[in-house]
Amino acid sequence: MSIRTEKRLFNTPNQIFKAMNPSIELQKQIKDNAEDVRKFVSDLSNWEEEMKRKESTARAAASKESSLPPVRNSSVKQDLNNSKTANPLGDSRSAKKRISSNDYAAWEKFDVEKACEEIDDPSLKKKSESDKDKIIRENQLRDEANEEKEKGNQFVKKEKWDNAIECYSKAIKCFSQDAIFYCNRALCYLKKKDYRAAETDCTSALTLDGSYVKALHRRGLARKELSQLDEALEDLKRAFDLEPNNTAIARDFNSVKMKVDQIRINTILIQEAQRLETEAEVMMDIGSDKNPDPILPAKKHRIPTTTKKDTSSNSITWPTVENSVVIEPVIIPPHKRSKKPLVRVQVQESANIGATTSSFEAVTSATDTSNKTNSQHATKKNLELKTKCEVKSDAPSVIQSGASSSTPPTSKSPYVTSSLPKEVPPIPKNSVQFLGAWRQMNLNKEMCFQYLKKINGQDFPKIFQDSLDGNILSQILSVLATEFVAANEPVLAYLQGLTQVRRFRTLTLFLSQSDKSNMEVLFKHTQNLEKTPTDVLENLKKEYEL
Amino acid sequence: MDKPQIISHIEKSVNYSLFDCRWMPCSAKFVVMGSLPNSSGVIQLYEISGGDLKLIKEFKSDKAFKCGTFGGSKLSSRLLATGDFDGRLHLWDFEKPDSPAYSCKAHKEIINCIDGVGGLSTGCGAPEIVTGSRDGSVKVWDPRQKDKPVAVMEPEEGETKRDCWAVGFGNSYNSEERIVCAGYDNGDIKMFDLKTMSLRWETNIKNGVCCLEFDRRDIKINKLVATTLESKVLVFDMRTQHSKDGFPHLTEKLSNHELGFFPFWTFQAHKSTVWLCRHLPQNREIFMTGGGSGSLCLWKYNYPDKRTKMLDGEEVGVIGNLSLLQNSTLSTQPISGFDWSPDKQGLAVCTSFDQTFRVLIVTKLNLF
Repeated sequence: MSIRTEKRLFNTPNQIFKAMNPSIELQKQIKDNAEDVRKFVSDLSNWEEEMKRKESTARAAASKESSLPPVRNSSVKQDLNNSKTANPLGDSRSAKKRISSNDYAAWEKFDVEKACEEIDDPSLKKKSESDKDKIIRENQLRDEANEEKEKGNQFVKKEKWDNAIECYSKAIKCFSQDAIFYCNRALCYLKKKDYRAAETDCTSALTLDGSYVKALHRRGLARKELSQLDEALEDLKRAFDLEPNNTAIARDFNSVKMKVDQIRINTILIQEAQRLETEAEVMMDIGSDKNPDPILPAKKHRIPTTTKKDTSSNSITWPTVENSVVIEPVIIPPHKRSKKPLVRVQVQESANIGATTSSFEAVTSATDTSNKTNSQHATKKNLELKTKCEVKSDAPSVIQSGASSSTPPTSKSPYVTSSLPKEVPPIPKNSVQFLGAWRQMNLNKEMCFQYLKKINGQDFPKIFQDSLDGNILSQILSVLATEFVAANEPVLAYLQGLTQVRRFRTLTLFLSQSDKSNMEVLFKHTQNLEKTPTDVLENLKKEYEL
Repeated sequence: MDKPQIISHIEKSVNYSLFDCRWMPCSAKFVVMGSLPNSSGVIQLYEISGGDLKLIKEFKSDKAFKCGTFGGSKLSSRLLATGDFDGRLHLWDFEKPDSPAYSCKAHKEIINCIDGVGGLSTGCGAPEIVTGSRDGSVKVWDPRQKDKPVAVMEPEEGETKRDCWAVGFGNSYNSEERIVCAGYDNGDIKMFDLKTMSLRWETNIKNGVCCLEFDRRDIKINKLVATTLESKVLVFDMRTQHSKDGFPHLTEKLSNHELGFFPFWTFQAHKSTVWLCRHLPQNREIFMTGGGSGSLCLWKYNYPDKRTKMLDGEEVGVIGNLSLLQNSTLSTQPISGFDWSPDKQGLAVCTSFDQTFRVLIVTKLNLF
């Protein structure tokens, strides 16, 4: 019915088709497309099954592999590592073999005669085979060497050094180009204390691998034991540079370094001691028969000695210090020496030493105490010498004097000053200069006053940074309270400057009663003299915890 | 009427950013890889079975994966080569996913792109993997040689290092011949001949090169497709290399004088960056491009009547033209990865930055 109406409306079929076009065509297309997708999806599930089957067969066929071309740009040696890699010649032949039976174009080009020639050519074949054999043999040897190494490692774990060395030696015999074998054997030699062999092995390892840290470390240890300390230090330093986080290396490096430093100091000391000794021998009367020294060379004993005190003072040029007494060595034969026990000597600040020698009244008989910084035979020889050595080595914290009451020449020590500086020291730039000057002035109030006057109070924080201590603070305060007040000088700047010094708060906690009374004096003074406003003063008082 | 359709068959959202996807050869499985929110890497292996997806394996790494390929591995082992944000190249064996079968620090910076050839799956010759990185270098690796690339292409000392965005193998029709093409962020395309170890051709196409692909890796170089920023798709006919410039002009946008040596065709599509291009494994004249707007375009290259003509006594290549078969917008975010199934014509998987991957069906491809 509907078609008939349409026919009535549209006269030609062509017209009908045109009118239907947009809707019907679209419908058809959608239907087609849906059909396509449906087909595809159903096909997909079939395909999935097929792929699973294929996958399992592919896995089974995995073993059948034809050879691959060599690694690009690699040297022959690198290829050796991969035994699967065939040489280029073999490859070209296998490539030809791969022509499939249905590849007619390739077969047309195939030159049978040439192929025959190639097969017949025995030299080519032989060469390739000998190459192959060589590769295989080398690989076998290498494997064997590695096996031996593993065995060796097992022995090392059990600490069977001899067996391990044997294994490593075998490994080296099989394959001599591996640094690890040498290095491991070196460890065994080290443990066996055969340091010379250890060093040689490490050297071989290092020629194969220059940056092998373990080898460097072990050689360092071996050389240390061989007392080639400088070389040891060099090795350990290189190892340390390569592996700065390795604590074992760091530890050994430090210990060797300390040893080297120690030896350097010792040699200096020995030289010094020997020099002194030869001098001392001249003036000493040695009971050589009673107290022979096996360490000293014999000829020294033969030197005819008379007690000549002046010669020693002539030969050693001690700096002459005014108001000081030069103490000469006194020689007493051992049997006449004091038998009293050793007495501790009070150590005193240089400022208080002044001119007193009374602090050294304590008598020590120092026959048995040997000073470690000195060489042994020097101390044994005579104790008088020791006092000089001590002074020489700047270690007068505990001063041992001889049987006689004697003080060493004092000019060397900064603490021991017998006279005040003649003029006020310059303005200090840092705390070291200040403290040096302050100590030099030896609490001479007048000098201190002059010195402080030169310094701008506001500079205190800069000078002291954080090295102002309670003692100095209270000394400064007392100088301010006495001298400045007496001279009617302004003190406010100093007081304020001191509060700016770092850690001042902490220092105020330790101010003594006398300091506090000094402060009161100072506050009163500054209020009267400088007309300081009360709020500033209050602030200051707070700062000083008053 | 007979236009192919692009249909999203299965869609799956994941909780990480997807960067690449690859079909596992000879299986109904594919891998997707990307970056977890904590910028660690993840690779998942899915199998399609009965219209659904089955997660088979998943493994993670400390750095995000940027790209991957199965090219260059044997069919029996099917190792996945990946490049990550840290510049490391890994080969993964899905039978033993605990640790990579091969691992090396390939580049100083992120590996942007990777391609593989050889082994026994595609092409002849040695298995090789090429990586391109932000550090400006392109390196060729052989999985049999550890830690050391077999070839390195990088700018000389002092030259500015360009970010390498695209690499592709080609011309691997026998065991010696092989070509690597690399595209850079400044529009440079360089073609290296690995046999002679020389730069064979270079050009600049003005926009950063996002993707480069030869229509086939294992035939004599035939066509090269380059996609760029600002929505350009260029097709080069590589069969006939002219000794000097002097090509018939094929487009108005770029003159051949500037491009040199190869005839090419350029097309604007996607209205945004064209992120990638993948040739259909079953038909080398058909390829898909993925755009920054989340759209896919299916193209067909039509050869001219004669591919070469004589010009001043020298053979010159003639370019054909491109026809757009279909386009489809799948996502609002850029398409980051796309791969055709090598085993089933019309089956594909694609990833996009909306953290979703889709298994696609493209119908009627057999008609072309």
